[in-house]
Order: sequence, then structure tokens, then C-alpha cells
Amino acid sequence: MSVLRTHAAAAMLGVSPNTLRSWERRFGYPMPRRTSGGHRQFDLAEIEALRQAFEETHNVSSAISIARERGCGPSSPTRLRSALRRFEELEADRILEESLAVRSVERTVEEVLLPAVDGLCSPDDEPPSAELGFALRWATGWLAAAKRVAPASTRPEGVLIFDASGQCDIDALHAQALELCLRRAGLRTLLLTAELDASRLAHVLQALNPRLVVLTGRRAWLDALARIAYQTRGAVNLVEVLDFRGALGDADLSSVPRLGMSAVGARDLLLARLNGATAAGPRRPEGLAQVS
Amino acid sequence: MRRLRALRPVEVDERGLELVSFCGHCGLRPAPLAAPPASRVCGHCGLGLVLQANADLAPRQDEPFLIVDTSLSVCAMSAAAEELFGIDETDAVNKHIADFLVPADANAPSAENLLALLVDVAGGSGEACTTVVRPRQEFGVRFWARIGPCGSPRAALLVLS
Repeated sequence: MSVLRTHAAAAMLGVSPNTLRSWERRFGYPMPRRTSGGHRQFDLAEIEALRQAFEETHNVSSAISIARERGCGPSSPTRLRSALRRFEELEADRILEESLAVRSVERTVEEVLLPAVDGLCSPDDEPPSAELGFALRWATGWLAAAKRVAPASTRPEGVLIFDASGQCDIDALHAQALELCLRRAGLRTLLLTAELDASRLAHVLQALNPRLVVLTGRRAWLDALARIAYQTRGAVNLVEVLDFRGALGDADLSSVPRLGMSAVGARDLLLARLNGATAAGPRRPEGLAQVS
Repeated sequence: MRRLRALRPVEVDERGLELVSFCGHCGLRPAPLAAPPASRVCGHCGLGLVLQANADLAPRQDEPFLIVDTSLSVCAMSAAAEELFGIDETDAVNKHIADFLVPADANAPSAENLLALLVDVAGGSGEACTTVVRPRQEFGVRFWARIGPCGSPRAALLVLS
């Protein structure tokens, strides 16, 4: 969080330091934190929000009221990350609600939620921090809640996502984000772990009858993913297998198209493939083939 | 040359009427500056923002005034009006103007549309005018009220005298 000393904050607002201190006494805003030496430290976002509010109103108390209602400026990954670092669940919920007032669900996930959690990730060789664990659980819950209120599917095509991410892995959130984007685009989706019992795969394929299978997560053995791809192709006619966020690593599997790193970008590519296939002609009615 | 030096630049509105600046809380008119100020916050009281209105309409010192937006909510209340109504500005902001002032004579043609007049002026379509009002729930007290546009942002200024 960026902070300002009293003189800098007063200069930014074009007032004297005494005026700023008088607002603190009279309105309780902006409320600075104190250093160990007792010096005031103002939150830059609060000062910026107040400066903007001055342009929109007629007196200081109205401007403070506006700045308070808006919180500390527009929703951003930095604000969300700061709330998650302080384990403030309600504040995190509020930041995403504010974001939803100006952004779509997809943009909120892509521009605020995922970058915020991403910024808490530690290097691969270090154990995950408590903050990351909390952030992942909270984000998983938020995405699940958003999926629950997504409209019912409007298209017959199904997309099966195999997630090979591990515990405390940001890729798991990206997989959830992709599923949410596809669900909101009207598709039928199913998100499963890549460690699925191979004998149950036929049952899954029969239930969803997917047109596209997406492999994601970077924690699976390549042969496990290759087995899924092989079995799926053998079981369902005309099914296409794709890679999201480098599940197949650098392996030279030229027959598996890459969807890139962004959930929204991947959704667009998947929809383009489905729409292209629809324009080319109807799918063969037999659907499933027998798994050997 | 000496006469030219005595001239001062005057801001005018779209109709060529002189505009003056005043603080939305203490009502003081800031001294003209060569360069635009760093902030709209009043340098005297630190509690109001500097607004502009026609010279005839703008409050003179100690005249109570209120600023009202198109939704008829109080956006600002002067220190003199705080004393008059016995309420802090922070409690008055966002309340309906009818919580403080009502037409003095409900049958008078000029007063019957006080609220419509304020909406028109705050919206930019009404002209400055004068009417008589009284505090809500108080009888026998009358004020002349000058009503006209002010800004920015645009709103209706109601000065009691």
C-alpha cells in the first residue's frame, strides 16, 4: 500500500497540513496510520479518491462522504491483494462487488481477482504462505458462487476440462475461471481432475458428450494427459483436445492446439472453433464410440 | 498606463453577467489570483469548496445559504445556515430541501413551484429569481430567498436574506 506523509498528502489536495489535520478531527477522514515514531501516514488511494471527489461536489463534507462510499478508489488487484494479505474476507468481497459495478464478471475475474491472487504466489520451491492459502480458498468460493448464478446452458455443445493442478496452485483458479467463462457463454461444462480413474472416463464422456476437451494444470505427468487425450479421441467422434496454460509443457504435440494463458481469450478461441464447426455442418449423430 | 494597471479580469457567464467566487461553507470571496489556485478548498475555513455564481446572486458575508441539486438534496450548507437551522452541515447534506425550507405562502403564485423552480435552476433551464420562504415547522418567520444557478458542478444556490 502506498502511503504519504502529511505534507505530501496536503500538497496533493492543495490544502495546508493544518487543514488536513482539522478534517481528521472533524470528519475522521482521511484517517492516517501512525508510524512507530507517531508520524501520520495517509493512504495514497484515499487521498486520490478525495481529490477526485472535490471535482464532483460542493463542499468538503460531501466530498468526504463520496470518497468514503467509493472506498479507497477503484477496485484493483492491488487493493484486493492488500485485503487478502490482511485476511479481510468481507473487504475482499466488497472490492469485487465494486468491480462488478463497472466491469463484467469475466473482466472482474481476469483483471482483478486472478492478478491479485497471482501476486501472492511464492516461488515453486517454497511452501505456500498462509495468505496464499486463504486467498485461494476465498477465490475458489467466489468463483463457485459466480458459477452457481450463471444462466442455464443455451447451447448443446459440451466442454470437458481436465485440471492437473496441485494444491495451492494458481492454475486451479484459472481452470475454474475458464469453466465460469464457458458456462456464462451458454455452454455445458464439466471440470474434473486429471487424476481421474481411467475406467470412469467412458462414463463421463457418455454423460457430457463433449465437443472439446481442454487439458490444463502443469502438475500431471505427460503420459497421464496423453492417455486422457488418446482415450477421449477414441471414445468420442470429432472431439478436439486442446491445451490451456501449457498443460503439456514444451512437448512437441503439434496435434494439440494451444489456447494461451487467458481464460477469456481461451473462451473466445473455443467459441470460434465451435461456431466454425457448426457452420461447416452438423455433427455426426452417432456421437460416442465404444472405448476399448 | 496607471488606469490600465487598475483593471482586473472579470469572469462572466454565457450571458455576459459577472461571476464571482465564494466559499460554499463560510461564504467568503477569495481574493483574485494571478494563477489558478492549486485546489478548490477554501483557504480561509478549509471546510468549503470555492464555487461561482452571478455577482447579484452570490451570498454576501454572513448571509445563510444552501446549495441544492436536481434531486432537491442539500449538497452544501453555509456556516450561517448551520446556526440558523441548528444543524451541522454533515447531518444536513443529502437531506431533502423541504426538511428545512417550505414556501412561506402556499397560495402565492411565485411560491407554489418552489421545488420545481429549484429543479429547473439546478438543471440549467431556470432563471434566477426571488421568492419568500419560511423554515419548516416554524411560523411567523419569513425570509427573502434569492435562487439561481451556481457551480461547479451545476446546482441551485438559495441565499436567505
